[in-house]
Amino acid sequence: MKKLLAALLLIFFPFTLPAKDRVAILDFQTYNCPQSVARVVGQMTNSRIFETKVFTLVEREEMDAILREMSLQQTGCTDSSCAVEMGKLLSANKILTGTVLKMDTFNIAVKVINVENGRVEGSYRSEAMNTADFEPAVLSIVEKVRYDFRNELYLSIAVSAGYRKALGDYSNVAGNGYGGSIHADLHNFLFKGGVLSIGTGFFTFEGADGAIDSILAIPATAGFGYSLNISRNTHIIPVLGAGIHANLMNHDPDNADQYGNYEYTREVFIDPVVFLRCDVEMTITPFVQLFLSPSYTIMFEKGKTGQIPGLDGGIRFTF
Amino acid sequence: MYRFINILTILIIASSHGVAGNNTPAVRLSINSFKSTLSDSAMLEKMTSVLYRELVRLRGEDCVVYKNTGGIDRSANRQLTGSVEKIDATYFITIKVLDGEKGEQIFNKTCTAGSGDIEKAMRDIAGDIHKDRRVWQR
Repeated sequence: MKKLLAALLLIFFPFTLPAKDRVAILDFQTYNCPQSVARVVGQMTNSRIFETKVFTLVEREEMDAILREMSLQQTGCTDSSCAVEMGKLLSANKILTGTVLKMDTFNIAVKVINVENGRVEGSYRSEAMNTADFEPAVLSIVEKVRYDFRNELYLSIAVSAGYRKALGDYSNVAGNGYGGSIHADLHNFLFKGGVLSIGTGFFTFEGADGAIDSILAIPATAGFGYSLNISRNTHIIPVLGAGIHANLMNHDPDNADQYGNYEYTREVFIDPVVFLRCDVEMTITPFVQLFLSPSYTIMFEKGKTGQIPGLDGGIRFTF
Repeated sequence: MYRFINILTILIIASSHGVAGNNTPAVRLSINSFKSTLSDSAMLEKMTSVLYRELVRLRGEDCVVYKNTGGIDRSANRQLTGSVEKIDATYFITIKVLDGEKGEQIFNKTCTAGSGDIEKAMRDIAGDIHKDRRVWQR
């Protein structure tokens, strides 16, 4: 699924897949426990980070030795420019360091450091009661690292329930609306943090007067946004987009008869819309987020303009 | 027309001969001695041998090199390194395969084993390496 998605995007948007960071993982340090524990936790972290495919892992120590030997002995690669070239091949953007401290329990700490400016870009902690707990402790750290440093394109699906209020010219035909939405969002689209959001749903509006029984609005929209990290667990994603609303209106175009009865018929209006919404997300796990999303939609219908402010709440699943 | 068919036949025979004559494997994997804080070097040697034998069985002798003399085999474009640690009664085994040309890890697996099933663990890892396309494609 992911490969298919990546392949399709590579065909249609060849500039959408950013390069992975090259990361060298240094040996873990140990305090108050044997060096073998640090080696085990370090290797375990290395394997798990490799499995996430978030980074390209560079094997600094061993590859240095390999390249040293190659540069010394390989024909045609004994000059300094070749060595520099090989050094460039090895160069890492980030370094991951770790420590294991034994008190009552094993405290595992991992830092991700940017090589260019020396800044600590991520610091993670986890605790293991005993050696059998190393695996889940390492996994919890690696999941956080994966979440924070994900550069590649990935998909999330958000489902929500929401409220809409018809304003402007739209208030002449509709009142309050309730319904649900589903959005498929592509994250890191075009650049890191970019979000392409495609959504649909349904909202049932009550009619503004007796001649209009109800309106079922089915939106089909696409928008582009940017993910802003407020804190590790909180993100804001403002999305600006456009689309259409298919309004299935159940109404009586001739108004009530002399006895005050209506004969409702269904009519479909397809109206263009533009919208701005702002998803405020809270991360529960790296794969599950809860969000609240205020929105403002402007709908155009034969020279008239309707405004539809709304509020949605829902859950997002990240893949 | 016949001349065209003759030329085509010659080209097909020549190209198929070229393919058949190219027996050099695109990828050679060199197995390096495992690292460990354990003092039991005989056991490390045995683990490496099991892995080597299984990979030779799966891939053929041409694709896998193991020189138990230390150093790096320059003729191989894949380097396999391993690390073994023992905590309590559990062995933690990590095997990595590195792309010698790019300096990147292309296979990395950590598994645990008791002393009785280390050989099985090594054979399983060899199976995983055998199945991993990244290791064997350039």
